[in-house]
Order: sequence, then structure tokens, then C-alpha cells
Amino acid sequence: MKNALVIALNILKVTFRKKSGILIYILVPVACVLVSAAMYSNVASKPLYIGVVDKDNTELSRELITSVEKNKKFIVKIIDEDEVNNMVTSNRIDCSLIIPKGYEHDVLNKELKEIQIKSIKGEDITLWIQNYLNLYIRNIMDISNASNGDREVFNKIYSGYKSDNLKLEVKELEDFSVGKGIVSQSIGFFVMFIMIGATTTASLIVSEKRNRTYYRICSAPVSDKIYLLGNVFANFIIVFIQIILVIIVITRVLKINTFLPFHQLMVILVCFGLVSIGFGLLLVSFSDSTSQVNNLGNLIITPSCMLSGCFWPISFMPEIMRKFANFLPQKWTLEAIEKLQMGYKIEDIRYHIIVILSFALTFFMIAAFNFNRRRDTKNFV
Amino acid sequence: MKVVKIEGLTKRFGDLVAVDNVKLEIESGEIYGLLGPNGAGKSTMINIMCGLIPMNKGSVSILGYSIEKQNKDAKKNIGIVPQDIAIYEDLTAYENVKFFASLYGLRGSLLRERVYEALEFVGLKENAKSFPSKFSGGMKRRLNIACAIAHRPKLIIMDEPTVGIDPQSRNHILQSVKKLNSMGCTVVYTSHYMEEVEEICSRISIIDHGKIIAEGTKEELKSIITDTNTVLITVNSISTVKEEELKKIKGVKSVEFDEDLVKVNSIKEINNLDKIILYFTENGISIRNIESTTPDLETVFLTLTGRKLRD
Repeated sequence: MKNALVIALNILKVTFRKKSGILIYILVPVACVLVSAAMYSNVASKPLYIGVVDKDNTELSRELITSVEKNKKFIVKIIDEDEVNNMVTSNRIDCSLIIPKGYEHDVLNKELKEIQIKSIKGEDITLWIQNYLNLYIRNIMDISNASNGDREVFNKIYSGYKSDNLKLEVKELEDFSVGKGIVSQSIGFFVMFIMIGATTTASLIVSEKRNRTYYRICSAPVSDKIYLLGNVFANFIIVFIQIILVIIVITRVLKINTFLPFHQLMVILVCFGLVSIGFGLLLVSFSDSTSQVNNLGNLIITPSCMLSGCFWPISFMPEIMRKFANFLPQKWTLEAIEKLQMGYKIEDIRYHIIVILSFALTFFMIAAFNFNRRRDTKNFV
Repeated sequence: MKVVKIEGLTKRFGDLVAVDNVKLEIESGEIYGLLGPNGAGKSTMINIMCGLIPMNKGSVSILGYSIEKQNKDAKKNIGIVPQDIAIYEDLTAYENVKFFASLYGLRGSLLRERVYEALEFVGLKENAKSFPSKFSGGMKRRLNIACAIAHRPKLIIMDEPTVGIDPQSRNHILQSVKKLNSMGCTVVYTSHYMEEVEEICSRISIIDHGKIIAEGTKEELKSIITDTNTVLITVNSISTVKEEELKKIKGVKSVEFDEDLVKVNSIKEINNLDKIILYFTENGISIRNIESTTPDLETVFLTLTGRKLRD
């Protein structure tokens, strides 16, 4: 066991002696998580450009436009109806809002049916304005109901509503879905980097076989199992450092709320780290060269990360792909984190942890079996 | 005391029998030479002796410890100098030796002391803090040796330790081997340079096709073929010399060609020199020089295996 630690320390020394080691194992994963988090938070905080066509051009329609303009999330542009399609398709506006002719009349007579919103960017974009308008219209319609068609009464109540004479307690709710999305996607990217890093560290075994140091080590009172254990220790230390750094960057530097306690995120990511180490060893056990390990890694890591929702929410995927993702440890990891974000306790996701650790155990066992099967040192001396 | 005891050792790779029922004993204090062409089974034997690959049959013990059953105890007593330099380019000379020595349980000040001792022994103490990437081939070979001796093994196995280095470094290494031996180390030495083996080895085994075909001191091995006379004939046109025709001459055992030189080995008792000369004159091959030699290890090897050591 002492020799496993000696070997682990030596692997760390050899790895981090080169500047490229620090770059590959520490800076790149942290930087990528930083970039992906910044990118997602930037997308989430970008204002929405709304082109408004006021076909009614009445006091109430102008009030609606003013109300939308007041919201910091929206930037309003008054446009003509014939400009709508062109501006939406050329991305000059994110969506258009068309206030129909007779809007004021319909509001006062409690007959308003719909306000048209046009966009080519889907519900992700229109949802904000849709929700905002629903709330506004509901208030206006309530005032209309209360005034019972009497314009004077309506104006009186509405001006009170506008001037805040009505006691409205405003409590801004944090948009958890955006924050959680940023964390999920950043962790998704990080999960990929854990896998790449662990595979690279495991591939040191192939390098050591190539430069013969592996055989010199095994000719000492060190079994090949102890050597592998040393590699696993070193790999684990690297993964652990990566996890700590990334969590610190997310929570302390970017000050992003992860919506789950530090230690819970650690537990899940460390479990996944073990899967990645096992996966790396598995690839190495089937490979004869580092390029073979890298090629196999590229072939498996990126597509499996895509399938399991590392780069976008898994709900975007077709049903069959989602079913297939059940066979991927990344899916279980991200799902466990998502559940913890939703307020589940760590005991509630024990099934997920068991599945993740089972992946790790399976990978380790197949790798160990394969190493033993391929034990071939005839080229040593 | 027997440092190495091998009995009935057999190793197969599929259908290929790499080591075939080998019996070998190496006494303490010997420098034991293993000679054999590529693929003869030397490397497989060494790998098994170091506990790196399992054997199919037989037993190997190092200083009385079975390499199979008492693997760790046996390995503690071995230092291996592999043919391919097995060091870390990203660690200094000191760090390289320190790492490998620490695998043998050395720690703290004893470890430091032994590392410097090993570096000094191979003449690299001044370069302790340098990286091997800045070393010459000879210096790397010496570091390769330092990594094998820092834990003071009782048995050192050296496989072609002088391949591809300058004469000065080779000389340094050969002197080191002798010095290690004088300090009480038993050495198993393989080389393609016959003169090295002749110079330093006290006993030699010739291995071919997985079997030891001859074993003994240099004198004993040469005596195996003292019934052989070697005639060296320098000719103008070697392409016209037919090996098969020469072998038909009574008493000729083997024929070897080297540039414009024809080596004809014959049974000592049969005087066939006139017939050999007649072959050349009858075939119009002009002889520039002719001389007779006493057998060396190369001749012994060729006679026994039918191949040159570098074949």
C-alpha cells in the first residue's frame, strides 16, 4: 500500500512538473466551466427586443406599451405591421407584439380575447413577455370588471393602479430555472472534463509501458495491482482538486447559486470521478498506445455526454435517446444533482448514488480483468 | 551459495516454446553471461527471473526465495538494468533514482544516502539535479544502472547495458560491472558484444531456441570446439565462393562470410587445407591471404548455433 502512494506521488510529480500538465488538468477544466457558466448567465440576462405594432392607438394601448417599456427585461421598438416579418426573421427583434384594433373597446367591454405575439425563437423567448402580458391583461380585465363598463370608474381605478395608490406589495421572485440551468450546463461541461482528465491520467499507464518505467516498477517488489492502485490514487487526487476548484469558481468567483449544499455536490461529483477513473482504466486496458486511448475516449466521451444531457437539457432529446441515456453514468449524475437542487435530501438519491458507483465498480472490474488477461511484458528486457 | 536456481523452466507463448526445460544455477559472486541470438529466449528467461511474467512449468528461486511463492522477497534482492532505458525524462537524475529506490522500502536519510551513492558510482553525482533530456546516450545508460543499484541488490541483471554508446561510457560501464561484482554483487550479463562477455564474465551460457546448448567458463566453452580448425581466406571475388561446395569437403563443419573473408571451420583431426585451397584454385578464385586462427567465443557461438550472435 505504501508503494501505491509512492507511485501516486510520482505520477503527480511527473504530471505537474510540465506546465502543460497544470494547463490540461487544472486550468482548462476550470476555464471551460467558467466560460460555460458566464455564457449561460449572459444568455439568461440578455434583454428581449420587442417590436410593437399598435393598431388601436388609443390611451389604453399606449398604456400597455408604456407598461412593457417599464420592465427592464424588455426593450420596445414601435414598428409598422408590414415590417414585422422582416424584422423577426432578420433577428432585429426577438418577437413582435401586435395590439389589435379595438383593444381599448374590448377591454372596457370585457371582450378581449387575445394579443398576438410573433417569434421564430420559440417559447423560450416568448414565455417571458407572454407571462408578463397575461398578468397585465388580467389586472386590466379585473379593473374593467370592477368598473362594470363605466369609463370614468375604470379611469379612476386604473390611474390609482398606475400611480401605486393601490397598496400592492411587490416581491421579486428569483428565477430559479435560469440559475439552475446555468449550474446544470456548467456541471455538464465539467463532467465531460472530469472524464477527459481521468482518461488522460489513466493513459499514463500506456506511456509508462512505452518508456519501460512500468516494467522497472513491476520488477521492484510492486505488483501490477499496486501499480494500478497508485494510478487510481493519483487520478483521484487530480479529480478531487478539479472538483474543489470548479465548485469554488462557481460559488465564490462567479457567485452562482448552485441550489444545493457544497458537500452534496462534492459527493455526487466525487462518485462520478470514480466512474471516470474506472472508465479511463477500462480504455487503457483495451489499448496499446496513448493515441488509441485518446481516439477511443473521443469516440465515447463527447457523444455520451451529448446523449446524457451535459450540453443541453435531456428533455430536449427524443424519447428513445432518453431511454438510452439510462445506460450512461453522466445522466444519473446530472439527474442526482438536479434532484438535490429541487430540494431532495441525499438519502432520497441513494438509488442514483448506487447506480453511479455500480458503473464505477463495473468499469474497474472489467479493466482489472482485462489487464490481467493482456499481461504481456515480453518486450521488457 | 546459489543466487539463482532454475529448474525445468518452460514458458510457452501459444504454440511457441520460448524457454524449453531450462536448468541453470548461478553461484554467488559470479558474473554470468547469457549469450544467444534474438528470439533465443534470453529475455523471456530474464522476465521470469524478475517475476514479471509467469512460467508454465518449473521453478525459479533467487537467493532461496521462490519467485512465484515469495515474489516480494525475491524481487527485493534483484536490480534490473533493462536494454531500453527506463527512466523519467521529466524527473532529475536524483529524483529518478530516488523514486525507484523508494519502491524497495528505503526512506529518509538512508534513501538520500543510497541515491547519492548510486549516482556517484556511475559518475553522475555532479549531474544529480539535471534532467535526463540533457544527458548523452552514455549518461542515460549510466543513470539506467544507478536506478537498478541504489537499493544494493545482491543480484543485478544487465541486459545489453552498453548498446549504442561511446567507447568511453562503455568502458565506464564495464568497469562498474566489475566493481559491483567485487563488492559482492552477482551479475547476470547479456550482450551482443562478444568481447565484453569474454572480458568480464566468469561463466557463460549459450542459449538457442529456448534451450541452453552450452555452459561453462570461456575456456570450457572453447574446449568444446578445440577439435575445430579455422582457416581465414581472403579472396578477390567472394560472390563466386559456394558455401555448399566448401561444406562438401571432408572435415568442413561450417563456413562463414565477412566482406571478402571466408572463414572455414573444420574438424581438427582431418587435414583438409590442401583440398580447401584446391577448391579456390580450381574455381578460379584468387586467394589474397590465408591464415589459421584459434577459436574465440564468436566461433564457439557460430559453431554451436549455426548463427552469428547478431543474427
